[in-house]
Amino acid sequence: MAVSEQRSVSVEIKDDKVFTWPNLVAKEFLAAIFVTVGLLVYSYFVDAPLRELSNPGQAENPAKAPWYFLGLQEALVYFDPWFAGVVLPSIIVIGLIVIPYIDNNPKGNGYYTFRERKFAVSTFMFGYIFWYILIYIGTALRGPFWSFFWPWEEWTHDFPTPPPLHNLPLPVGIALLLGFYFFGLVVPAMVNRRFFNNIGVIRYVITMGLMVTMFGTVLKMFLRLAFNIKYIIATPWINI
Amino acid sequence: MKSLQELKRLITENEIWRSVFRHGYTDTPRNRVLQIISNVWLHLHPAKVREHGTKIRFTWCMGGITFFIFLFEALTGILLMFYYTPDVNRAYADIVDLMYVVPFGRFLRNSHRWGAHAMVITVSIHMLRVFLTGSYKPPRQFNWVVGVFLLVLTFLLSFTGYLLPWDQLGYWAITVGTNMARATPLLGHEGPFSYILGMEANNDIRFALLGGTSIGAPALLRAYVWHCIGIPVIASALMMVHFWRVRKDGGISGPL
Amino acid sequence: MGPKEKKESCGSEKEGGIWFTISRRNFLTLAGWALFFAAIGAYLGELFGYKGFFYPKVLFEPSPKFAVGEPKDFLPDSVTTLKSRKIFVVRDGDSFKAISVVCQHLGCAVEFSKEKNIFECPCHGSKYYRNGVNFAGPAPRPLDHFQMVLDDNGRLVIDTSVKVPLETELIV
Repeated sequence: MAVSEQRSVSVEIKDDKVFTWPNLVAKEFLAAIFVTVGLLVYSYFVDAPLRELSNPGQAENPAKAPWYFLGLQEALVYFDPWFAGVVLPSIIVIGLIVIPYIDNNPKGNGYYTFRERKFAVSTFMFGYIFWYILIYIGTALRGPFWSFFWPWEEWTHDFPTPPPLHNLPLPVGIALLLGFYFFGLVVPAMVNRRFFNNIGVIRYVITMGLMVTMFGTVLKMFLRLAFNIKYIIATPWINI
Repeated sequence: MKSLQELKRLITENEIWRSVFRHGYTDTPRNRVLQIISNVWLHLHPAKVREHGTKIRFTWCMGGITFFIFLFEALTGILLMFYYTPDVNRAYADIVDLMYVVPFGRFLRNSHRWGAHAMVITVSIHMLRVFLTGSYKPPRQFNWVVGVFLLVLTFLLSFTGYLLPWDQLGYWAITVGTNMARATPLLGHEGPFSYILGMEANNDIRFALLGGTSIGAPALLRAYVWHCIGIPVIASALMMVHFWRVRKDGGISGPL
Repeated sequence: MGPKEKKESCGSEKEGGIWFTISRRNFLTLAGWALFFAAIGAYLGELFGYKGFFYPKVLFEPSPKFAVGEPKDFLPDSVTTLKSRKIFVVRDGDSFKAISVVCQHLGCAVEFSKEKNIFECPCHGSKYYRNGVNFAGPAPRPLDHFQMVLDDNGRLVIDTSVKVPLETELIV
């Protein structure tokens, strides 16, 4: 009797701890060695880029930022610098910071799961992949004068001048933008009341505000590509 | 095999070896604990960790690798500083010297440059892993915030380093990058509503970054100081918090 | 009960004041902290704040006013790029214009494309007509036009600190 009791107790205590030495340290050591070897071998065979001496009067063609900023540089084609270069990155950083505070789903803490947090994972993956798609476009598909070339096309300086861009009329633009945010903020709450009730008003507004902004950014790019629209809202003070 | 054992005995069982290493290492649980807690570097770790935290397929080892690359960059960066002068008339020539004249210089510069790129990649993969495992959830929310700041600092480190060779690539990348700061609403002289604060090319936020109205000698010196001292110090401070919080928040996240 | 008694002993509440009840010790603690943060704030403000440490007062930058040569040095109906000055000198017949090389989008150096007769920016593909007016790409406005005068020695002098309207031209 006593023996069986003891056994049941020992089953309940979940102790999956192992010694850090050598279990973890050995793996870290190996990882460090592999990374070092990889970096050194790569550095031996591939030279770091170095162009000619800087010349303020003659820009590189195409002039590209470091690759990890090419997503932003690509966004600069579609937006004014104040948005693409300052506000958009700030929104991304702030959006990343608030993730832990707006995601109140207790499930999926400490293990891989898609089923238990479909919304969070798919939203994040959309942004993450889109960021890298922009980087890919900026790195590989933008040639001289930042004009677009498909991977199978050769970069030339001889390409047709793009058609002139036009703006939306101001009332239409304001209506479109307000309607878009209104639609994005109100409709999901009406359709999916459970989601709204689960996360509360403040979390909901922040979450959907960020998400609608993300999709709006993509949509504006689409409008530019499909309809040659330069600004949705064009005023003397601010253009979007 | 026997000769190998003999060789080992030859090396370890003599007066010189014994005078340095007073005793051998017996593999006991107590010694395994002592290896961690009495070692100044390793005691970053707890003596025991949960098993899933040691699984490469769970952690991808990306946080650790990022930290390792940071150390690697610090080492190669310090070595590069021996030959580099942050002066517009000399910077480019110094880099060319590093590439063609300094023994081992090309190799060092290459590995510093590729290490920087690798660090950006590993840090972003680390963030992806942390997101996918939901490791930012309570009680680890704040550590995620610290991680986001470290991500930004990684970008800034790499970005400031980009200008230092003073070649066309860096010059124009930084031109474009800092001209974005020029467009900051209110604070940059090209940004919306900046006229309210009376911003001009010689008093806006870009001016503070560059120390001038265009990229010149002050900008190079500023990039250099931020790259070599300013940002690494801030990043190190945040990394201490980051690693400390990993432990204090219950170690590497895992199924509850 | 301790804190409550303390509060009453402070006295201001009894007099019916609207001031927060606060003991002398708490007040001094708060004042100490306020002083501490004010001092730190002032220091950081001087360091990072507007016109603080990071805003140099003296700049060693090229003069905005410089001579570019005599009118006959420029071919009729041509666009001459002066790279070191970041200036295009556009000559159409007798009229001269000084147009900035700096793209209005993010400050890259635009290039003149002879065949198409337009200015093109290599960074983000902004395009400008020969008169500096933007027509494609992200550029928000035309290229800057600078003041150009003929000095006593018959040389063209450009002052990049003075911007002039697009229509301005110097007829020689």
